[in-house]
Amino acid sequence: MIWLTYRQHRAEALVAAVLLALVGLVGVVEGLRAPAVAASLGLPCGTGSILPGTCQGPLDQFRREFGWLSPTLPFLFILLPALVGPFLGAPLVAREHEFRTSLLVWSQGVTRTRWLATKLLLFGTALLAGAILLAAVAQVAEPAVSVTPMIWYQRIEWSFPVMVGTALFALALGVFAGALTRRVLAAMLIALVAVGLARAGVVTQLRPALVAPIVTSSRRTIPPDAWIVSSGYVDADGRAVPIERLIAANNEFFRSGSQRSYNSDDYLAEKQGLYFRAAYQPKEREGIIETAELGLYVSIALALVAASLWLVRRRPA
Amino acid sequence: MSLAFEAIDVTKKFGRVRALDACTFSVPAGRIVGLVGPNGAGKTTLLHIAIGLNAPTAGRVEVFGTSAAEDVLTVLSRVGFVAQERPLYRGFTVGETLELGRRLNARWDAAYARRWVENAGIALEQRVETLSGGERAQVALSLALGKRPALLLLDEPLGGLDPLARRALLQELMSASTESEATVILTSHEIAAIERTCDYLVILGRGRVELAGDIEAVVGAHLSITAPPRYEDLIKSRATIVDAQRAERQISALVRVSGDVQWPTGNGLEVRPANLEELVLAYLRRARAERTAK
Repeated sequence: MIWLTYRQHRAEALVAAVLLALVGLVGVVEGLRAPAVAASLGLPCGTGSILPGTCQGPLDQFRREFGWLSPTLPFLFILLPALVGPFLGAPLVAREHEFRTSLLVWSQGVTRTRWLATKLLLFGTALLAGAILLAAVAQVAEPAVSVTPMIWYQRIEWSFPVMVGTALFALALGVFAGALTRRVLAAMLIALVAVGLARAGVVTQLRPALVAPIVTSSRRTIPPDAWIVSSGYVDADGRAVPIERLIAANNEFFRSGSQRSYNSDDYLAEKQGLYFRAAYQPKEREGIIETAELGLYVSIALALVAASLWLVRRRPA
Repeated sequence: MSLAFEAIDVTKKFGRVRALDACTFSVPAGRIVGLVGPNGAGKTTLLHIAIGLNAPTAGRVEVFGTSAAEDVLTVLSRVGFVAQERPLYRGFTVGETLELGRRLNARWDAAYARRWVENAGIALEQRVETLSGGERAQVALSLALGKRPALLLLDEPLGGLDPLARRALLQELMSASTESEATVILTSHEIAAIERTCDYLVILGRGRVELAGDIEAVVGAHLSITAPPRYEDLIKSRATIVDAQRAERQISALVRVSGDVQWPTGNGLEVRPANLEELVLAYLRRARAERTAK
């Protein structure tokens, strides 16, 4: 089975390796070069010899050299693991059905369970290695993408757990779509759309809340490097305050001339019954948030693998 | 005598359609079996069920006493199967195709498989996608033979082949089955080819077995009769009519007899031994008439 898997998928493996190598080469070379270039230009601004406001020139010069990387590389770091779904996962089972080679390979002396399990295991191992490499490239390439170090919660996307989680999830989703539709093109489209939607859902909805954020009613308790996932005002019953009400209350605050004795939050709380509420993730949680996301991806992937095995075993070849 | 293949009350429904309907027959070991029937009779489904590529709705198929539903690996280790589409990996070379057989089967006779390919004049370095239809059939057969199977299941092995390639494949098949004492079950629409190659016949008409038995015995037990209509009662008293076509002045019937039956001579009554083709046609016509009536 190992030989067959290699022989059948070596072209895909080669394409994936070449893509990874290209991204890696550009990322590493430029990433290693960028700090020296930035230093010679006096970047980042405001900390060294150049005063704030006068750094547009050096910044432009830095961007002329590295600017093309800042949309490209982050895009690739998100795209490459996701593309595993439509391009590696979807054809895995669907192609065998479409070319009827399912009848050939499943009538040799290997059960379908072992056939699929071996392939998934080998693909999973390769993806693990690929994700480690890609995350390492992201680490090295960062100075070429951003002059100042990136904020930790923007780097979650670039972390190894999220990259490997995405890749494994995408693989399982593609395989499942292929086992379900038995058509390569249909499975690829489904995998592409589903992985895209799932990723968007995770980034916007689940990532801030997967590990319950810390809720506070005082701005002062929020650490400066925290990721504020939501903030606003609530009334005494805990309901969100409509924006009109908030504007009116703020106008009231300025009109009353209370700025000297109050800060606005205290004024709003005491005089208007509007309380500040924010939810945030402290920086120490970086690893926990990434691991939780990995756990989510892996558990969904395992469920999809189980469903695919069931489909492959139970449905006619 | 041991049974190589046994279908026991096999029923397979696809939605509301019954592809197989309580299909029951058995094949003794060592036979070359022709499995005939119209398109959609359930031949392919039956072969797929035998090796676990499909599951029956009810009933079971046993290969040398083992059902694929219970122990698929034992069944697969004994069966060489060539599907109707003769699927092969297009990007593989012929040599890699045989390597697949070696890697995926516990028992594999590499020299034997290679010999079949080379005898057919196919180079191991050739890529599968460059092969002709006949060569593909040969490679697919070699892959099945490399397992040294006790039972060879061939779904339409002659389909799409030119007469020369057909002849070559049939010859190979016959020598392979004698050489390794394998039982062969092949499906085909080519009655003439079956007559030349097979010694056992199974007629499948719309999911049911119409007839199963040794070809010589089967042919010997059937007669083709043409006579004026008034002889119909006489025919019925001495034989069982399988299928009859009645015209105003003549009835032509294919009948089954048991033992030696005496027939009056003359007066337009013509009795002659049936040939395989008209026999098969008669059973298939009867099957269709019965199903339509139902």
